[in-house]
Amino acid sequence: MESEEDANMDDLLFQTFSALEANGVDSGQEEEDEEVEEEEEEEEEEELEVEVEELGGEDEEEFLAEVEGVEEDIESVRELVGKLQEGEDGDDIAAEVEEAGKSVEVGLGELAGVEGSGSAVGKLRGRFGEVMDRFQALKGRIAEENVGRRSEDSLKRRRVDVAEEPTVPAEMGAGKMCPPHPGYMFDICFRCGAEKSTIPNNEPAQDRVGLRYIHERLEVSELEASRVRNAELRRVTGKQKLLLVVDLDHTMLNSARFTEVPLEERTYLSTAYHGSNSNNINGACVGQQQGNMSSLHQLTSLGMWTKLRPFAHRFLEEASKLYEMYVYTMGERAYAWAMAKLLDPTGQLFGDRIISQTDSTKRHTKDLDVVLGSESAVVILDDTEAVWPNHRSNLILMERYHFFTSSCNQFRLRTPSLAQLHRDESEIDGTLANTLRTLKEIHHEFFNGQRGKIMKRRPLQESPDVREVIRSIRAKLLADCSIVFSRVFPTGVKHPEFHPLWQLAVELGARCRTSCDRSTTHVVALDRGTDKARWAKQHGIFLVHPRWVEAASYQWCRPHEGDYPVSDGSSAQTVTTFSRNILVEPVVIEIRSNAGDDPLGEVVSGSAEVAPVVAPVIAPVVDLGSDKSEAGPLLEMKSDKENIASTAENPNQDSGLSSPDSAGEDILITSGLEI
Amino acid sequence: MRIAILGCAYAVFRGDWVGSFSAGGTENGSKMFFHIYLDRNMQLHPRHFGPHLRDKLIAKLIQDVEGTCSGRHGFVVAVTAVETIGSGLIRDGTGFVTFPVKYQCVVFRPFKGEILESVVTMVNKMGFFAEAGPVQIFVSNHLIPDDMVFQSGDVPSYETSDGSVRIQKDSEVRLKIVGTRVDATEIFCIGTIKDDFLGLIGDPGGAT
Repeated sequence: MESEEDANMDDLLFQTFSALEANGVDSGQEEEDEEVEEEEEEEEEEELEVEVEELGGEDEEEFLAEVEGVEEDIESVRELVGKLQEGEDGDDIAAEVEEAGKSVEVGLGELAGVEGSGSAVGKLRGRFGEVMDRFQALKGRIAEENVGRRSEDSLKRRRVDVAEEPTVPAEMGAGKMCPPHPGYMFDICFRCGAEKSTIPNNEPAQDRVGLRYIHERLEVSELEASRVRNAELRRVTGKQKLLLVVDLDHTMLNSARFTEVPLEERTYLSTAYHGSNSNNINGACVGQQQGNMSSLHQLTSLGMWTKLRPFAHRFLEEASKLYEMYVYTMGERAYAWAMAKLLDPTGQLFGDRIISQTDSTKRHTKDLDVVLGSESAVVILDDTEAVWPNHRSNLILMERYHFFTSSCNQFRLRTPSLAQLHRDESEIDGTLANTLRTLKEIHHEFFNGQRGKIMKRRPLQESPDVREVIRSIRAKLLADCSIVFSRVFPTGVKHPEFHPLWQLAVELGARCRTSCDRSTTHVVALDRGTDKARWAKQHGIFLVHPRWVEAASYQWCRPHEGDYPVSDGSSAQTVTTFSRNILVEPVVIEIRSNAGDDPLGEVVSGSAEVAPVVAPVIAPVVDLGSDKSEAGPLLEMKSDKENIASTAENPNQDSGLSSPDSAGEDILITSGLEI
Repeated sequence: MRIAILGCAYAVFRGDWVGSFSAGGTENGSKMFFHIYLDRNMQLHPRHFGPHLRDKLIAKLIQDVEGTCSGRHGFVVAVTAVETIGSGLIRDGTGFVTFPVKYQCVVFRPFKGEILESVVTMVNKMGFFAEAGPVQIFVSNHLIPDDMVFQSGDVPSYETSDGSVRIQKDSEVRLKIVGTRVDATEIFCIGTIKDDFLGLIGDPGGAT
């Protein structure tokens, strides 16, 4: 390892020297500056070593080695920057520096993880920051020079640039020069103060990105945006964070207009979630936080009911430790801000990073151009793949959250909504909890994964890319499965590998075959009567519904095969969610255990295609208090008759959902409000 | 660098400005306050006619004019004197009477190159916004010294790496105006703190 690095360094040195020779000394002053800086840096280095020695302990050597590694990385970056400064023209070098910079970031991030390394890492980071700042300044100048050169005669370009180094920037107090103008605020350039209307309109408008969510009147050039993006990437990864872009509707919450909520649903909502129309004024919280349960809100100013997805608050809180979060919604601004306020009442999680449709650059799609973050570090949570045409590989597709009936109707789903079923996603292992797990895994892989480790050793390799991480995690989900499809697509199709389901399975790491053999582990079938399905039965191989593959994609784990059996006939799809959901009834909160044969018990979603419709159970509100299997009413029912009546109204849906193989614990959360 | 003028500025904004005030600024062309004559046609309802007509008229003038902004003159800070009140003219059909009033007032009009003291109102990764009295100023991160970097978090800020200087919301900042834009009713400025003696002058909550 060491020798390799040394070789690398030698190489760089050689390049630098040759560059020096080639160019002669044409920027004397800058070199002087550099010398001064280097002197300063050497001093710092000494201090650093002292502190590190003080650290002591067993891990000292290892830590020191890592520190050295990072130092060398920084050194190589500095050399590259030096090369740039010496006037070697090269976008290649700039790119290299950026790459190397990212790797240093990661190295620093890892160091920061070591206990007691705070001050040392701080110093390293400071030094690195300086180098990068210098690089940024240089880069800007180079870009300008390039522009200048193109217009000039390219033959006589060698010394003229330096000689004609404009003095304007110094006057402005800025390190760089306008034009090109980096952007406009209040229609004046925010670097030189020139009015936009006086500037000849040679910059095409599409090069400018409006950042209206930061300020009404702010727009920046593409160049500036990428500069900010890089700075942002360094800042964020330096804090061991990534960026997370969160969609609102159907991802974090579900909203419905007052007029869209039918009366019966409203009565259910108001009973189950503590609601009474009197106790809220303009956005007051209707359902009080019940334990961990996220609540239902009634926003009179917008005329809307809003149901936060269960676990939303915890999810955001946890995610904010690992990610810097943006809200990006297709809704209007007022709506976006109101929702963000519900999700993040203190405003600490999102700050002003709330992007609504008004702020987006395109009308019907979302794009990361307004999100000031480098694509290699952004994770997107959204329920619609189509709105992210350019960033699909950053996307974690979420299962849609349909709480209100109107939402189901919008998407033309014939399945009943959660509110209709008096259900809700589970807090403990619902969609958001699953997603949080995935996010943590991505974060861990990004910073500590194998790629990160490799990179640290080879500073100039490409930095980890969150898209790669996502892909590799996904490819492990069904890695040990070998799938054969049966009656999923027509026989005789020439290229079954183009079928979306096939592609999805491959993306998830499964091996797909057209015929059964000994390696086959799963037969995915729509019908139990096919040859392959029977073969599977004979050989004791999993026979699963195609939804099993989809479930794996949504849940980011290998779903339990028993939950997705293949049905005989064409039983109606009754279940809306892949994730586990629970019953929410207007009675007292109880934790109930499943003895296994409880008709109202566990509902494992996705399994309902086969679930036979159990005979209606009337008013089965029996409280089973313990989580042991000794079933018996430990607590007496506290609800009055009306409550019973209201629960009894919908036994059909409930029982229709119940799955035969229920396992584990289920939580029945209900409110104790009497009607 | 002319900062002495700001003492007056604060006094003026607080409304306790008294005494004479010559045309603002000093010899070197740094002028942001001006003492000028302006005209205005005041309409007065006949119910005010009486012994206090003049007082009413002045009161109404002050109410109407102070705090407004015209792109041409800047922000009217205070009416200092009413020079003349012309004879009224009864408007046909309404009974309102129009008086041409000539008055003297202090106006605030920032120019490029001037130094201002301001209070930070918002910080984001593109820079920060500050207010000096009625003027909104944006300082982009190009015009913030390179050693100050953006820190997000509960309170977003620009900080030096050693943390000794920290610009956040409500900080007081001295800045130089780089450009102005004058609308019919508003004035915007772009400022810089990337120069000698510019930057943080007071922490939020600190004594002013």
